[in-house]
Amino acid sequence: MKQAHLIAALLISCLFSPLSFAKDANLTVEFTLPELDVSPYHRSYVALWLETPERKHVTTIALWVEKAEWFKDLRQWWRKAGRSNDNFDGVTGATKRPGTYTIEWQGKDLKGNPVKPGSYLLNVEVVREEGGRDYTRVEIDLTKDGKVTIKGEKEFATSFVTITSN
Amino acid sequence: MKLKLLKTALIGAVTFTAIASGYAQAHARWLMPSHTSLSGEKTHYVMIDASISNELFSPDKAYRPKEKGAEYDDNLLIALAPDGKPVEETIRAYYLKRKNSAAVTLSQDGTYHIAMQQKPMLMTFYKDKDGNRGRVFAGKKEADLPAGATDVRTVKSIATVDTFVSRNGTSKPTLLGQGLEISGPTHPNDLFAGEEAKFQLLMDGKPAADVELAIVRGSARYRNERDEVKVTTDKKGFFTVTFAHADMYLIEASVDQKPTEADIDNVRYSLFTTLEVAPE
Repeated sequence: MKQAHLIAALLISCLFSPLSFAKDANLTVEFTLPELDVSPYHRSYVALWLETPERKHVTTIALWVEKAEWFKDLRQWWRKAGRSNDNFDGVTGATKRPGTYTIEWQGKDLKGNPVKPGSYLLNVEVVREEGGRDYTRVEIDLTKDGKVTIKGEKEFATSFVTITSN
Repeated sequence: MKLKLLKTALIGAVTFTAIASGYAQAHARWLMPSHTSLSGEKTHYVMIDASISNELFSPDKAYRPKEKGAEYDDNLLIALAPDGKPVEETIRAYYLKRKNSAAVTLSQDGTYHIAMQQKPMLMTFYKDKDGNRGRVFAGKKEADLPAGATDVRTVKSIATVDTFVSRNGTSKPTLLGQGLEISGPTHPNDLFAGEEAKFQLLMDGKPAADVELAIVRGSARYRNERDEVKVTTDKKGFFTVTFAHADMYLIEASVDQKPTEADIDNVRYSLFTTLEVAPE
């Protein structure tokens, strides 16, 4: 379903817009879950979301966790966004194997409204059952092109976010 | 233990009226929830342990059920659901020598306020004819005091021993309405290390000004320092605290009030609220 939307969006942007699809993405996160030599290894729960500089939840960008019962373990995400379905409907996905993933954000909140240009905090939280938890946030400015490093300690490896102002 | 009790009675008898905040002389009473935040659609259970101990939060002494020899007490704990009503299911607290344990069913979304039943307790302190001090859990008239007892003082104690648990998000906790208790603006299930939290201390539902509170960190057994922070409420009963570490904490306070009833020399309100602080 989602894929169909993406393809449709791609076709439309190719047909009607001189901009390439990639340029539509406001944020492109290259996110890496490291290989961990542990047994048992459970796939991590992951949440990426945007907050205002005052730390108010703006929109969730990705949520990888299968069961609502585990939402609470993403403690920072849960307090800010997890308590209402509206805050994550449409961005939930299954947990992933170690590897590097590209997560794109098109500059809109989950209701489809454009998010105002300006400064935001990109939050990344990763929790692994029988493992640890990593949480960090980086400042980004949606009006300035650039690439910001997101430092992971253990549960996620050094990741990057590329900002493309439209 | 006995010595400590005696010391308590001694300090109490000598300087009762002078002590405004007496938490240091009382043993800490506390509840320990197995979880403070739960998510998902199924009905959840939270385990509540209750104990009396100074080494937070390692259980030491349990509450004996009212009925002699009983293995449990169905009236030890209450849980006020997010809708403001006490939960309907029986909360059976088993007597396990060093602690009492009960499972509380959470079926509504929001915050549960879980507390020990708050029946005011009467304690009568005295000095026997040999000058030894003693204490009886009864009012002045009912107390079975030794012949020739002097320095008889009766204290009415109103203790709040409580904690909070949220299921699928937080809601404004229902107030107990009597005794000491904390209220917002900060939600008691939304505490993180390094963030400032602001609460209001209430006594019988009204702001309690100029009261000193002790904020004591758990895991005491694994530390040499007590790690206690003292704060005082402002004119409107508000106080702020920044928890330095993620842990379970106990908020303690004690307020002495002039009695309005005959045969009572002092009314003591005390507070023991357990809070969880998450790591950033």
